[in-house]
Amino acid sequence: MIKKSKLLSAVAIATASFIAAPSYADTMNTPDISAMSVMNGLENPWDMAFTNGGDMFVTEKCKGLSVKTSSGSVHALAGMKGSKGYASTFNDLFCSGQAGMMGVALDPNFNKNRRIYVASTSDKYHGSGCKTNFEKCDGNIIMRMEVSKDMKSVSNRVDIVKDIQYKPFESDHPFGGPGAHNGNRLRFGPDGYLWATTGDRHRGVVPQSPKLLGGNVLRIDTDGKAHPGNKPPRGFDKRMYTYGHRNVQGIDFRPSDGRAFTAEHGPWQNDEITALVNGGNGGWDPRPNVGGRGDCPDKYCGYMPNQKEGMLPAKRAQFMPMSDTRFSDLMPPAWNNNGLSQGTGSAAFLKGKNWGYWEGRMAVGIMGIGFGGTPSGMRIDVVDIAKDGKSIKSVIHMPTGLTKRFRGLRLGPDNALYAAVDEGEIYKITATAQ
Amino acid sequence: MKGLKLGIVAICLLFSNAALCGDIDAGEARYAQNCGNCHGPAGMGLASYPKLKGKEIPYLIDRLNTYRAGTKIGPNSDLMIMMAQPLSDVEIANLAAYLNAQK
Repeated sequence: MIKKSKLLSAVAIATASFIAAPSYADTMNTPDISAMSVMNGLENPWDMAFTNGGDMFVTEKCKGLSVKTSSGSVHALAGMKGSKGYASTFNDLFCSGQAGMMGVALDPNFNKNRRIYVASTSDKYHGSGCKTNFEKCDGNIIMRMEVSKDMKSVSNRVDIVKDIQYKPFESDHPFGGPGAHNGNRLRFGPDGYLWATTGDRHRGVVPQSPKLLGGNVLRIDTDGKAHPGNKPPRGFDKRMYTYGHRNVQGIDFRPSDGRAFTAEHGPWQNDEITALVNGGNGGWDPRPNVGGRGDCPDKYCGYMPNQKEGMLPAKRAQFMPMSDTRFSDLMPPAWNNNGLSQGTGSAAFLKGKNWGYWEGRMAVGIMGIGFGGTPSGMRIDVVDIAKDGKSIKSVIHMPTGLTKRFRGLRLGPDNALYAAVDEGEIYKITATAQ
Repeated sequence: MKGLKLGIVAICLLFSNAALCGDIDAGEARYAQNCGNCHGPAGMGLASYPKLKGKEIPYLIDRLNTYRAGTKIGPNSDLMIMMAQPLSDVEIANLAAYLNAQK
C-alpha cells in the first residue's frame, strides 16, 4: 500500500513536471546565434590566428599580415610588394588572381618563442622553372617569423617550405588566370605539427605526382621537415600526409579524437568534406588520357566534359570525379554538398558549451558560386560528422543573418567563431546555449 | 521599340551620362540577382573578380556586349559569357548606369 503522503508527492511531481515541461526546441539545446563585425575596411581578408589573450592576426591577400591586439589597436606587420605602412615589406611576396598572402598560424609555444607561420605566393624560388604552365614552378612558400613583444613588428623570417607549386600564366580554363588553386591554409594539429594544404594549380599531373607539392596536405615540423610518422606511398615526398586533392582550403581537427578533416572546393560539382587517412589519396586526377578521358584544354581536365556551359553536376562528376574510385587508397568523402560546388573553403570545429547541441560539430564556410543554374549558396554550414568519418549525420545552415563570401573560419580563444569574408570584414559569431 | 532602346544606348555612349544611360534602380535590382555573388556589394570587387564600381559606362556596356556575343576577354570569360548571354540591351544599360554611379 502506498502511503498517502507518497502518493501526494508523486502527484505533485507529476503535475510539476507537466507544468514545467520544456518545449521540444528547448531540449534540443540549439544555441542562439548572433554576429557582429569586429574589423572592416579590409582588402580580401583571408585567414586569422589568435593568441590565448585574444590578439588577432589577419592576412589580407594582396597587402600582408596585421594584428589587432586585444586592446583594439591595429599594427601592420609584414607587407607584400607594393604595400605601404607595414613595419617590414618583402618584395618577393606578390598576389595574382587567387594567390597571395593566405594562411596564418601561431606556434603552440607562441607565448615563449613568438613564432608565426604564414603561407604566401613568392617569386624568390622560381629558379629556372615557371617559364610555362607545364613545368615545375616553386611559387608558394611557408614562412616562419617572430613577432615582437610589443606586437608592432616581425623579424627573423625563415622560409621553411619553398617548393609548393604555383600557376604562373593564364590557361584555357574557367577561372583560368595565373595564381589558381594554391590551398595555403595553415593549422597546427593536436600533435604539435604544422599542417599545410596545397592546390593542384591547374596542372593535370600535379595531384597524383609523387614529388610535386600540390594537391596535398603536408604535415611538417616548425623547420619544414616531414613528420616522421607520415606514410605517403613509396617514392613520394615525405612531407605529404595525403595527396590527390584538388584545392584544400579548409582543415581542422575533431576535438573528440584529434582526427584531421578537410573541406575542399569541387570544380563545378561535389565540394567535399573528408576524414584524412595517413598516406591516403583524395582521388582527384585531372590528367588527360586517364580514367577514360581524352585530351583536355591545356592538359588539365578539371572542368570537363563541358567547360563553357551548364550541365547537371552529377553528369560532370561521372566524367571527372572529385574522388575517383579507381584508386585503392582513396579516402572517400564524408559529404559532397549534395553534388554541388559552391566554394567550400574553410572549416572550424565548434568547441565549448556555448555551442550547445552543436558542440563538436564542424562549421564550414561556403563562399557561394553558381554556374549553369546551380544555386550560389553563401553560408556557414554546421555539419555533424559520423564517428568513423565516412558520412555525416546532419547538416544545417547556421542562422548568422549574413549572406557573405565566407573565406576563412577560425575559432577564437573565447569559443566564438570568427569569419573573414571577401567583402572586407571579419565577423565574430557568438553562440549562447539555451 | 527596339530602335528606341538602341537609341538610348547610343545617346549613353555618346554623352557618358548616367541619367540617360539607364535606370540605376533597375540596374541595382538586376545586379543583385547574380552579379554581386562574385563582384561583391556595389561592384567593389572580390577575390579574383574585378572591381566594377565607378567604371565608365561605355566600357561596361562594351564588355557586357562582348561577353554576350560569346567573345573571350580574360580568364573568367567562360563564366561571364554565361552570365551575360541572357541580358537585354536595356538590362545592360541599367547595369552600366548602376555600376558607374557607385563611387
